[in-house]
Amino acid sequence: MKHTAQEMITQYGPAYFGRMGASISHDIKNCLAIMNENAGLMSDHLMMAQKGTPLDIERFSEIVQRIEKQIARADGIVKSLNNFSHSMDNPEQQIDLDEAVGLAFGLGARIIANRNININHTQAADKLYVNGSLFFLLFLIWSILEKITENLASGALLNISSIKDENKQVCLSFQCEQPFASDFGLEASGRTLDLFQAKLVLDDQHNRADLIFGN
Amino acid sequence: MQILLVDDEKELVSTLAERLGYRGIDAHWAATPNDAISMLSDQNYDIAVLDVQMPDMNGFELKEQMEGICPELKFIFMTGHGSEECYYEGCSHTGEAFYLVKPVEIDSLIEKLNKVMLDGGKR
Repeated sequence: MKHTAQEMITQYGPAYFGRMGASISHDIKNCLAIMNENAGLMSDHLMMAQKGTPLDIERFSEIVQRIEKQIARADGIVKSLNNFSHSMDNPEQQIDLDEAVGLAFGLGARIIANRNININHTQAADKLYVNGSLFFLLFLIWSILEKITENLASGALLNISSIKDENKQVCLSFQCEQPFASDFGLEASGRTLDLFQAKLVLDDQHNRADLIFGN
Repeated sequence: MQILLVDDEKELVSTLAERLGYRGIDAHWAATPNDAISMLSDQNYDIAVLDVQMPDMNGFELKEQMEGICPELKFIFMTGHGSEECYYEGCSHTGEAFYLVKPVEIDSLIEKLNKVMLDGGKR
């Protein structure tokens, strides 16, 4: 049964936005918490200086750098959120596959981190493009990523690489030394595959899945 | 009062420990649940302040393991995750009074630490 994009947005959109929103807000909270503690630490040092303890300039500078680092981190998270928020603006567009992988992973980074899975993303030497909706491409990549990492052991390394296969088709490959879940059925992403005329090929050892795009 | 802070955000727990130290509270920190469990064999702690979401093991699972090693240990949860589900689970482990949402004001944390020491918290 084919599903229209609108039907799929209605069915899966809110859940995906909600899950990513929770992941992102958690990371932003952490940035704010670190900035809060370091601002408090600066205040503590200033208070001690007022009472006669010499101010350690190097230490103070280190605290400022920590705050700047968290501002940059939070800025990156908010940029990802903004890109995600605009991902439904164009139902059909040319999408840089590696940029989409980076965004999909960045949005759900907290969920992957909680599973203690390391991701190594190798980008294609030349840019590879996929045509379609950015929202559905993010959803498709995330659905596969989440399913694959669900049963991997803590500390596992998942390699993701984008390539053009021997048939000149754009392919996103997920590989791990451990096998993925034996039940790799993905109802939601199965429907999304249709939107990209794509297929998901799992090898016999169940430790490599290739997402091959038809458009 | 001996405190153990556990959060995978190392810059958060290390800074918080330093600030608590300036206020006369002996606070140590760990950035992984496994490090926290190891630290229990080296030192006696009165209260563990645990992040809820961490790699490998969440704060509630860590609490169970830490209780197995130190039955007298008391707990406060600290989270950046504001879901109702998480809130109610946190409260069910420690009581509403001992569940903090990041960013945490240090005076508020110290107030909770003192209350846990006096009341024992819900365990």
